[in-house]
Amino acid sequence: MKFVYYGTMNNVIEMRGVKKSFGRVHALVGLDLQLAQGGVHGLLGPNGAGKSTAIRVLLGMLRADAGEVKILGVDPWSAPAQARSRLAYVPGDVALWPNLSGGETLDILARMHGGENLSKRKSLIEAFELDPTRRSRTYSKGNRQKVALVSAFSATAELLILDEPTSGLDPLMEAVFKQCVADARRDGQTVLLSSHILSEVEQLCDRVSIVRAGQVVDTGSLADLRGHAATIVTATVTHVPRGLEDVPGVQRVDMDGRHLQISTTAVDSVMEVLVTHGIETLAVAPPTLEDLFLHYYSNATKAVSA
Amino acid sequence: MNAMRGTRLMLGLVLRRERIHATAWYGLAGLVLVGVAAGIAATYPTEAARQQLAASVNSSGQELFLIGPIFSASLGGIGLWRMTGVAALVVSLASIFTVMRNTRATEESGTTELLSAARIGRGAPLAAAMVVAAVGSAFCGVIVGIGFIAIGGSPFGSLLAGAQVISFGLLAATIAALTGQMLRTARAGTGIAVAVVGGFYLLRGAADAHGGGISWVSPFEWIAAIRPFAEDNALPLLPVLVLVTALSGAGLFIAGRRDFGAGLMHDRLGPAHASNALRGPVTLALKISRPTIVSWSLGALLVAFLIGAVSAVVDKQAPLKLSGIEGGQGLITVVLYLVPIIAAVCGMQTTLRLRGEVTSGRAEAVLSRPVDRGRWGFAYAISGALAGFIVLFTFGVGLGLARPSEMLTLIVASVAKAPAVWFFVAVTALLLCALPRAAGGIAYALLAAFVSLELLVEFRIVPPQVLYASPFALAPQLPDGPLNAQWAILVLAGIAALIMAASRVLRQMDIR
Ligand SMILES: Nc1ncnc2c1ncn2[C@@H]1O[C@H](COP(=O)(O)OP(=O)(O)OP(=O)(O)O)[C@@H](O)[C@H]1O
Ligand SMILES: [Mg+2]
Repeated sequence: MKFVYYGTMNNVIEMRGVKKSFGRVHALVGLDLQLAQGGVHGLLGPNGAGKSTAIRVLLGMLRADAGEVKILGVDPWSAPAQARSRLAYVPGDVALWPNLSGGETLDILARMHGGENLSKRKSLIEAFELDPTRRSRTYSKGNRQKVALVSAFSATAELLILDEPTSGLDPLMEAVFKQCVADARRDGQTVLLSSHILSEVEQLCDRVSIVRAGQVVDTGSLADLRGHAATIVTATVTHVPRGLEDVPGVQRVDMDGRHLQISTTAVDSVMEVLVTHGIETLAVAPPTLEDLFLHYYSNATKAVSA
Repeated sequence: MNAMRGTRLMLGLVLRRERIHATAWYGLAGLVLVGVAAGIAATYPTEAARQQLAASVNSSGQELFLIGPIFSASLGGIGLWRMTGVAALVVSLASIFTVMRNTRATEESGTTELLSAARIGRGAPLAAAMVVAAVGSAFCGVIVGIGFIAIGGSPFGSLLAGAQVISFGLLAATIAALTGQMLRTARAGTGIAVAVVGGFYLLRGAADAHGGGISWVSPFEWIAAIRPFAEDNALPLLPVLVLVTALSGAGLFIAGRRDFGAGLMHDRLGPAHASNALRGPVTLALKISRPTIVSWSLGALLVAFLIGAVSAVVDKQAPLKLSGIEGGQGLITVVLYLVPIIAAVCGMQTTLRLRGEVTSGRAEAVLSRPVDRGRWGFAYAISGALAGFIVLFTFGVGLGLARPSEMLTLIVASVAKAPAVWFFVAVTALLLCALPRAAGGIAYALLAAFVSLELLVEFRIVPPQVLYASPFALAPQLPDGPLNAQWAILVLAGIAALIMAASRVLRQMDIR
């Protein structure tokens, strides 16, 4: 494993207050994202949140309207093209040249990249069960995705940027993909993974940033983030308590006679109230990843930002 | 019929999509045709002048080959004569584009797939597209009919002139219907359909120049046989309608039976590795444009050979001189003046592929790698410049094959037009950087504007000197005209400036 230091900070990706608008659409409104070297970083967010836009800014395809952007220590917009030889990218929508075969496509992309591990490519083609002699036109969506994945994972790169990389893959191929990411992590590559698939994120990512409406609303390990989402307390009590909604941290109370369901970020204070009302049954469920998502995604709840 | 289910629904959709596009194409085509007819009618206001024009045209082989004979020296008659060639071209293109845009192109982009689940028959998109093309052609025909009445043509003759225009539109629409079903890409389908229409036009020219006997060889001759303002004979519309019905029937037959996304041929396997020549964006663009370049060049070779073969006969008769341009005489000079326009279309079409790279998302695959933006951004312009050059070259070779003793002269004369072609490639490249979304439309509109300068000069609306603003006029007019070396250098300098401007903008633009 080699360590490369970029000036004073060794962040692989550094975005501060990045803004980007397309006419009247404000795709990024002050996005902050920092990735330290090594590990897998998840980028989560609802459709249209700005994940792909942030990635395109990082790749130098879009110019940020404001803010500071550094990738591998350089500004992607003004850096010479050569700077991109240290990263590999899988686009969100993989489109290939219809007349070229998969093998031709992999060759030309590798030559443009300038460095490739040929034996790795061979084993990846086998693992992904890709037929390189088929023309891209005749590939299914999943097969096109495989071409992009093989190209990215076989390239020599310090940073992998993957935009919804498993869309179109069947569960077997998803397993192969997860193995590839695990290998990349082991080899010291840094991975930025944008995804909608929660189980994938849970399995693969060390840290996660949640993007909503063009901003990162929270960043941390999954355990950290769980702490921000509501815990569900289900209880049956002898006397129905009043004013539970006003207890700090309580987000929602559903009552059905003496049965209560309370969503709260402060379990302690809820318990203090319940104890004085005679608890008959009690269940406390930590938030699932789905709850966490709904917590951040839904517009009704205010984002709890750090 | 099952395949036609949902045609009405599709028709609503296509009409909505085409509301502006098709209306503009067919409407403008109609107005241009009326303008051309009115222009020549105004240029020859007296009966005597028109009689003289008719006599000289009907005895000039080049005029017969390029446009056809004048059947009536009335105002409507000469208006019709001057308009016919333009009509065959623009209305046919309007129909081919309209049909292809709504059949094979939507199938390629995947839009059709969205609908195939929604109880839409396999033939419905084609049927809807053909209906829209027919309505558009009728719209254009009505404009032309009314226009001719306004110019002073007889009402029945004007009606038949409109019917001729509609026939061109219907014929091209059904040709495109068939090629769009047979070939797997809209590009190939459009190319073959345009080639077929071009072939019909050339055969018509050969038959007219030849005079009598073989006039049935081209459906365009059938349409011409209506002879509005002279014989006013509607009968030849019948075989045209039969052909249109047969072609559209064949198109619908294939549409109802073939697999989604397929053509008549199956895909073969490709190589597992790329050739060593394929190294970066430029070589990639060249490889991708190769089929287009090859087919355009073969077309140029064939057309040039045909023209060369006819020219020997034609040039024995009265010579034709280009209005306003100092050039030589004879059919060869005239076509050498026209060929860079065709080569420019080929070059611009290739250059415009860059936009498809961006919208498809393929640009991301290239630009996320250590590839210089300039190499990527100009890759298709380089291919386009080369494509235009090769088309000019093969055209010269084709002429030379028909006149072997002048082979070298003809090749040089044709290739010497390259600066004019490159100028439009460079304009297109700049537009792709400055106004990427509108680039295609504006580029072709500019080309059309420069081409129509000729008409303005011909109708004496502007003085001939205005042509010196056109790169086509500034190109060397070999073999008999001036070399225009200083002008050619000026055009090349203009190209350099355009490229520099384009590369500046390219570095500042968002790729999206
Ligand atoms: N080229 C563009 N022109 C105009 N608007 C754009 C463009 N690209 C993105 N947008 C807009 O910017 C916003 C963010 O889009 P982006 O593609 O980054 O979202 P995303 O988080 O990747 O969503 P998804 O999960 O659906 O992929 C959206 O509102 C989108 O419509
Ligand atoms: Mg996205």
